[in-house]
Amino acid sequence: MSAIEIGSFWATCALYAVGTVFAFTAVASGRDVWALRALVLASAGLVTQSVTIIGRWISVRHFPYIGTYENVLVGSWAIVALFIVLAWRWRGLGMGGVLVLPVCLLTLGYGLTQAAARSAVTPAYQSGWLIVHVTFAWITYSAYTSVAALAIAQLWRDRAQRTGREVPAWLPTSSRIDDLSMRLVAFGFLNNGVMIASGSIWAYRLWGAFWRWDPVETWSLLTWLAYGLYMHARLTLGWRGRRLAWVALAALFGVMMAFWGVQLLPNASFHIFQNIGDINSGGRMGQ
Amino acid sequence: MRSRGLKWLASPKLAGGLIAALIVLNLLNVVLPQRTYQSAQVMAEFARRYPQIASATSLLGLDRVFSGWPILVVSVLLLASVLACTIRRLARHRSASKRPASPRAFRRTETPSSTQSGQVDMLEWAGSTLQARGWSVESTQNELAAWRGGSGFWGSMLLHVSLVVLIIGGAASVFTSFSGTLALTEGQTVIDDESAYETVDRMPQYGAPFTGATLGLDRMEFRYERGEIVSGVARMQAGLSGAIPKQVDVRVNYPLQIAGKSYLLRDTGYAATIVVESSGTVPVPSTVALARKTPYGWADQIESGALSGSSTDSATIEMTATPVPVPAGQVLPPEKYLIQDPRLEVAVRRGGRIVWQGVLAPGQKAILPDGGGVAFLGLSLWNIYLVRSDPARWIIYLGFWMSIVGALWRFAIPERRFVLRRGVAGWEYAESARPWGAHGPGSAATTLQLDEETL
Repeated sequence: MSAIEIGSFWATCALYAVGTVFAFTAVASGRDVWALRALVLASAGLVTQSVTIIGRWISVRHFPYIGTYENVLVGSWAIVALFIVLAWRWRGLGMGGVLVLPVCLLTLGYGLTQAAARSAVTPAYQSGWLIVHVTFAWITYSAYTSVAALAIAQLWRDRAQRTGREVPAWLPTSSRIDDLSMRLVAFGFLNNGVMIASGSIWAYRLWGAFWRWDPVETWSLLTWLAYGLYMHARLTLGWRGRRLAWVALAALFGVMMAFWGVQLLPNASFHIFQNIGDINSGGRMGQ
Repeated sequence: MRSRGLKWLASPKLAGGLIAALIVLNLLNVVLPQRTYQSAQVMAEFARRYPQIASATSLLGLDRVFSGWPILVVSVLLLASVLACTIRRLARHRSASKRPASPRAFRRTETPSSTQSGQVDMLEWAGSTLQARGWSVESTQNELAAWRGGSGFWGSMLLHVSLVVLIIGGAASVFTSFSGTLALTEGQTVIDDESAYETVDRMPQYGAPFTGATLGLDRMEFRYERGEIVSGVARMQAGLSGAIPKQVDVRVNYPLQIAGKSYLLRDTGYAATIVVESSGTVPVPSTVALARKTPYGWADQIESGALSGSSTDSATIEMTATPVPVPAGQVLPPEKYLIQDPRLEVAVRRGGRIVWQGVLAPGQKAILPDGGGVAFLGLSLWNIYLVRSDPARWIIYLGFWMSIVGALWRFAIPERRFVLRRGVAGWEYAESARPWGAHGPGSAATTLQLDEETL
């Protein structure tokens, strides 16, 4: 990693860490000013993270999409970017930072432990379908994480109402949060479908099988079905508010497992990113 | 009874239960080694370490959760559930009146003052305004009902039918797919039939497994950057049975596609061309694909009856090839596929005893003590191809794209309903939108700009 990349990476982590503290303070105190401060810090962190990505791009001479470190670097950027857009548009949603910022922080930390020396784009990564797949994966996971952030806001509002506390005026109404969540779920659902389809095409061309029930593949399918169930719960069963918020948080588990969880188990998946760079291991099984 | 069964099959709760079952299966998939993609060694090691668990797992079929009865049961139930849901919705859609039922809840009411004549004007005005904006309108003396976006229903149907297509495609793949491995050395040409294959792992139950296509490997070309392969191209010739082969470049992610089969570049290694000389035999060059990759080079051994001589024990020729001279004990350079100055380390054994050992450059010969010899002519490369044929994958791809188009259609064309009526205290209106809420700029209320001044 170059000096600029290292410096901006740690600056990003610091900004997200302090932003997390402010977000938690906003939830605890119910004061908008802390949510705003968290949002400002998250926005600054996004800028420094952009510098990190550009620095990595320059040093490896390709857009960073290879390996765990590069994937979490850009993936977490996408998550924060979408959250910031939503939170600046609907200010009260800034408290969702209690979920988004720690998740990104932990993800970046994990990615750092997997950081490899800069590597060339080996044949296994030379595929247009892979680029489509990875791009739509980032968009999908950012949408789903934002839904979970909205769920936090929904649950906070619901709890405040049930305990008789005053619900701040700056927090969007429950129906507004539900409506926005539904739109984001639909957006994520569409992108998730493209992610799975393009990944399937790439997998056949690389490994000779469009679907191997590989744990990452299966978790991504389950995530897609879970968010489909979310939409059914809203439209068919008429679920609203707190119930739907818990469904959103449970569905995020699938997202975390697909990207994070399986990586922690040895030899559990063809998607262990660092193992598909060599021409000789592009598809060998059980190695 | 039948309608109760259909209702249960179509319920979101069953769908939720099936998703939960898939989660459990996937957890088992991660925790227990699976025969689908683990090697025999891994399975044997698991059985050695945990014999009772391995035995129970095998008995219950949990070592192949996604290729055995568990996924079959879940898939059949999911197929039945989606079909039941689709059929019920279609039946409801067909039998529903053209005029939709009022939205379930009147969310907002406006109660301005109005005269009797204003009431008629109001309905006419609202009806004509909505019709101009593409709404379908039906009105009575005291009420107006409007709707639009009904075609979005078919987007939802397309999305659900896509799940059926995906499951059918998956099932079809089980019966029609082929899988095998085939090896080619530079300069070699084969015909796609059973004898050309190293292994055949899966034979289709429907369709011909072998095509008779001609395949040849001219040469492999590699390019390295910072010690890593950035390009590995197999310059090949391929043609259908009876046709003239054409030149085609094959690389990882860009398999050779011919006669419905895909030949995926999987592995590369060295092949040594040698000539075994002995009295009484005509020396003929033969190319030996060295199968064993070691840190020091590619190695293998062959039996040679020609070198046995008077001994009853057959002779063995052990070979280790390197692309450049590599000092003893050192490993191959990173650019292992760039054959620039090859060497072949040879050891000839007879009766377990080494009779000759040394390193040969191309053109050099190992002369054995009692006559005979092994000449090294040069190194070339071999490739292993994973050969796959899966016609049903196009059904799967179709299913995926149907789901995306269906979802896009459903989300892009929300189904909106609007009712305006004269209530007890004045005008009331309510609207609903599916799948979105009724607050957006496309809502009828926004279109009509219903407020105190208008009414």
